[in-house]
Amino acid sequence: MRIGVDVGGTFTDLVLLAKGRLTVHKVLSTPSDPSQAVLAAVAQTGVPMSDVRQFAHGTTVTVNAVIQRGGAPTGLLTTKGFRDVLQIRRTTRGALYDFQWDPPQELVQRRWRREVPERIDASGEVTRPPDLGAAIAEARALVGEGVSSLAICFINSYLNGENEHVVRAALAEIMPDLPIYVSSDILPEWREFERTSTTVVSAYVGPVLTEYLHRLESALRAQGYGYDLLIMLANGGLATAAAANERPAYTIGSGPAAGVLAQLALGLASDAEPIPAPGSRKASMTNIIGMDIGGTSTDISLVHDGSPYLRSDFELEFGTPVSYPVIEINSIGAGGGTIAWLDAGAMLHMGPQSAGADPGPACMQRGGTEPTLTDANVVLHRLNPAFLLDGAIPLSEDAARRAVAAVGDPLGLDVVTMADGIRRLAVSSIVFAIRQRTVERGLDPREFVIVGYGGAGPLHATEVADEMGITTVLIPPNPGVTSALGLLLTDIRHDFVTTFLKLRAEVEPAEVGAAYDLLAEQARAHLVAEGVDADRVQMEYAMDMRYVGQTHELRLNLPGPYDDEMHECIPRLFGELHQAEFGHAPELGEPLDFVNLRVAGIGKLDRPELPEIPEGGRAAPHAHREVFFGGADGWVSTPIYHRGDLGHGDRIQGPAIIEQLDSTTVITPGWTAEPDRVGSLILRHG
Amino acid sequence: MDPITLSVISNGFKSIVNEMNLALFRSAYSPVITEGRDIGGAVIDRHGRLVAQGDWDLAVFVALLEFSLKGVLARFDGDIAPGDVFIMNDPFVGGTHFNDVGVVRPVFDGDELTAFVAVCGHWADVGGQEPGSFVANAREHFQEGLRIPPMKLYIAGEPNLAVFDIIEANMRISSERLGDVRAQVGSTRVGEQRLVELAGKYGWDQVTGAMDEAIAHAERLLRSEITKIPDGRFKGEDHVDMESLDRPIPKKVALELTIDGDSMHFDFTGSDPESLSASNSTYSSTASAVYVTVKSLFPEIPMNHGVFEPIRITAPEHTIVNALPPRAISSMAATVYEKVIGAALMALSEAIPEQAVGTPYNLINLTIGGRYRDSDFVAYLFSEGGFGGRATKDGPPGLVSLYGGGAKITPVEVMERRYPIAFEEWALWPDSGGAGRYRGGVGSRKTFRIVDTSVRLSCLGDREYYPPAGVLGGEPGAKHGLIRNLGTAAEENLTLKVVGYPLQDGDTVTILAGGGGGYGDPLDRDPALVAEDVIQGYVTVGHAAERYGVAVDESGEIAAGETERLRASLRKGKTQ
Repeated sequence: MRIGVDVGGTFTDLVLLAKGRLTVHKVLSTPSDPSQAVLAAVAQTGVPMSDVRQFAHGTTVTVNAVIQRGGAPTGLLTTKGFRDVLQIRRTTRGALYDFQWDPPQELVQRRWRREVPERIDASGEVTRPPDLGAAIAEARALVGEGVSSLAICFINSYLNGENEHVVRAALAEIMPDLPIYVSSDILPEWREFERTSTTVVSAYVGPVLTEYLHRLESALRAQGYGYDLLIMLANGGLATAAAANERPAYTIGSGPAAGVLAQLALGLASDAEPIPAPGSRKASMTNIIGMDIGGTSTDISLVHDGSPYLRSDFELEFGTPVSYPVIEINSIGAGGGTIAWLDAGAMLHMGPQSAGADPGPACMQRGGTEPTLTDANVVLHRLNPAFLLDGAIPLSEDAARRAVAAVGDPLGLDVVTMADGIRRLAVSSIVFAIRQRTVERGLDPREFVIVGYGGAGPLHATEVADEMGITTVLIPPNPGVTSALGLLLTDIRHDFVTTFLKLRAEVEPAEVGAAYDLLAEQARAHLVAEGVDADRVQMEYAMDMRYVGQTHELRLNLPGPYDDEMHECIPRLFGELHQAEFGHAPELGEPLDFVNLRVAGIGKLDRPELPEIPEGGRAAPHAHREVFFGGADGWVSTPIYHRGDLGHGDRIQGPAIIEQLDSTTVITPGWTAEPDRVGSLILRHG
Repeated sequence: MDPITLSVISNGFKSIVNEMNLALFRSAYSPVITEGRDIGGAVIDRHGRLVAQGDWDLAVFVALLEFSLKGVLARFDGDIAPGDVFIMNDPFVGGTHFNDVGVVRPVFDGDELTAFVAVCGHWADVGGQEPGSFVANAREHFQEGLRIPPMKLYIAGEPNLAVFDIIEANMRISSERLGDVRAQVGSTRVGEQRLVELAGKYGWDQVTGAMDEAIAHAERLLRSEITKIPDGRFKGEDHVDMESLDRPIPKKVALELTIDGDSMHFDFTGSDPESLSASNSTYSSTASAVYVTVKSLFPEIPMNHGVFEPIRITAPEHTIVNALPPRAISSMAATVYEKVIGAALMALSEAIPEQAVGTPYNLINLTIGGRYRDSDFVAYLFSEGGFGGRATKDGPPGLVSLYGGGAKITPVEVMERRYPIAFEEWALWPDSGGAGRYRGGVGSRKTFRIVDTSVRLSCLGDREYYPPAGVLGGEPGAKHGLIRNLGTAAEENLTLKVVGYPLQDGDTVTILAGGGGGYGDPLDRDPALVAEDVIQGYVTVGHAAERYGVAVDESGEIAAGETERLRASLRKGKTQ
């Protein structure tokens, strides 16, 4: 038996895989202590914890600690002369033309950023050993002022962590209970601001995570769970609680990353063929545009040829990077709770303000009065106008109509036209955001399928697809719990990096290989400590490099370990990557600068088979309702299906609506829906 | 037109510009474009009116693209065909300095011209006397690189090879510049495709109708804001320290702002004659600085032609705000441009005190050149500084200049690895923010040492003599500076206009980038805020007493009686 639990802002989702069957549980989140909702969901399953062999968990405690500024009071020791690296950042302004703009408050206020005389030069030599007396005095003063977690980040420590480690050792001796996070362990990569920020975020959220995981793990153990508690990381892998505590910032953004893994697993498991879009060369179930529409935002991700895009420039909020390689997800402010409003010049806008879960859309009658996308969907009857979640949340169509009319009246639009307008505007903003992502990557969206999930993704997926010329859409079996499902479909993973900074022409292959071996050893040691068998360990190698003179490096995934043959192949492989990324590449002999070496240590877990659904033949609408489809269609009497009544081989012609506990799928006219082998709905047009 | 369709199409314009820019970032060569994001894209209507910019565009460029379009239309109206692409960088027609090169593509419905898409990018070099094409002491623009008046880069889809050849023959590392041209042309092709797709969905009538309406909407919003400002005449002025080191003559930017109903008139009559150095601005750059200032005060208003309509600008010819050929202009950004902003902020502060801000610090760009590890190098280092205090809060510290837009600074660890320099300090500079009821954000102080070699140093900067002004009784931010071997017997003021100064192994250079001007009388600042500034290290104990009249010790403890006494005596000094 396996359990995946993903904590979200509103709901905590649990997916249980037992005896080849998936079951889903949804409970309200408990923000003050998220473990309560986790345990409540566990209790709902009725499964004894002693029968569970894997418990995987996606948590938001770290991201919330930053957003709500609820982390540990944190101090920072820097090299003398560099106290303000954290605050100056890269000097960028968040709003180019706005005199009222301010950067967010730094996680360590200036008074708690203290300097230590020490220095390492740009070749990695210690030119000044740390003044331990000064370091101890500063740390003592900080603790005296209430600091309970400490970050250390010295200039050039990416080349040599000695000074940081010497200071840590001296402090640990006299302050053994003070958690200390040093940058050369957290992220030994050049660029002092990004490394400092990552280290500070770690120190700020680390104690919160440690305490939370301890509490949850103890509770699970008390109920008889006998294995490691596995925590989802934003790189798409799992880690034991102990490993997660070592690099706590890796847990930030892990829930959405799990969703991307689930998309890919569903694409791979599907027996459906996508329809090639007119004019495109191919479409494939492993080219995926992920569209997760939640209450406040839409998360967009891309999987190309079966690989999610990774990036290292993730910013938790403006000017707060966490520079680990993580699955790339772009958020825009368009969700079910996003508010439609008129500006002073009577122009209609959507968001970025959201009614969120509190006060929520007007139709929920919990205090919200402004019109949201959800209200529009209620007015149009795309959502059941009476209730959501099988009746758990009653809705008021009248309240939705009143809210929508409030923006429609000044524009002279009737309530239905206005509601349809809100829907069109939301769809178009999602379309524009997806277009920008694909243009940025040089990809043709028509070669992709859309996976629509989150509570509201399946409501709008076909319309987004229509606008982009995409003809195939996949709706996961349980769209509202896709991230929780992803937790069951991945491996243990740890990424390690070292900044190498040597020209290819000036190194022997053996030297590069030896540097990779060190990283691989580190990764292997981690995995072994986590109980992974040696024959289940795999290594993935990558290198950030650039042509000499370029300012930015590009990451090349290496097809295997670094040896003589790899050394020879690198210029060709990098040239191909450069061509694919930028549309041009220099001659083969162009000198290359090797910047960062990367190793991902992967501990393969048993992947469960996704259960197959029964054959169809029972599909029949349980009701009809009038639904507004706009354009020439207008109001159409539309059959309403229960998702659970559909089986493999059934085929439903749009217009139709398919309802289930956690989501509503709209099949617009011209589209068909067919459940695939594992229960994903495959929507096709044309 | 249907208000929903209007919103969807308007969002579409913005997305089109974003997509053009993303395509450009992907394929350009100049790091100033790919990393500095020194670009501007636009959708422009068939009359040459700016319709929309994207999320990353420097407003500086966007306003200029409209002037560029005027230049194209003046030269080629009636001779614009499908497949044509125009190129230009002429500041005397519509531009900043020669490095900013614009590419414009007309968009057609069949044979009918319906719109333009344009994108401007900063090229790393455009020829001229110095690598990088910035020449602070240039006498004439001929020293600053290739001047390209509006011309056809493509004629009906075929490349005009003569233009490519002239570019290639006149710029350093010309293969990269040709890469930049191709990237810009490709980017406008993306814009054209998307605009045609939009028209395919909604029809050209709706698309051009939405252009008209988007412009009218911005104009409506700005006019309604201006109407709230009381009518009147307001003065502002600011100064460039000097034309150049060999012409140490200060230059004044004078402004009289008239608010009349729902329109504004910026009249720069009275500004000094044009410089015989590169410290000049052309009319289009001056107008751009005015638009940028207004846009920064009313950030919610979309940037398009509608914003220009209520604003009239008078800039007499042959003054530093409207220099004409053959004058040089490459120092514009660090000199006159910032002073137009300073003068405008001063005049506006009297008119709209709630939105007023102290003047921000001034752009400083340092160039360090020499030989290292057997090859020539040129390192660029800009400096971040403080922005002005505001009506309800202090100014933010340590940011890139207004002109610098979205630029990201190069990290210490990258600089030290790549160039023969080692940093000793890179930190916020206490006491450099202009004192005020709300303080200007503090600037920064950087010191680096030359390691094992000799180099030559040049700088574009200003505000050694005329610091960023405060408003409504606020005090100025700190004077900027560039000093060799600070704190030693060999200390020397290099000045911010230094050109080609030789530095030896072991010399240090300190860059002082000041803070913003303060807002309101510093004696009205809450002593608790002054104490917090002392605790956080933005203000020293001495400065707190001297400028704010607050007696506070290192721990933030305020001596109330002494504070009262200090403030009374400072007030007395001010009224005398």
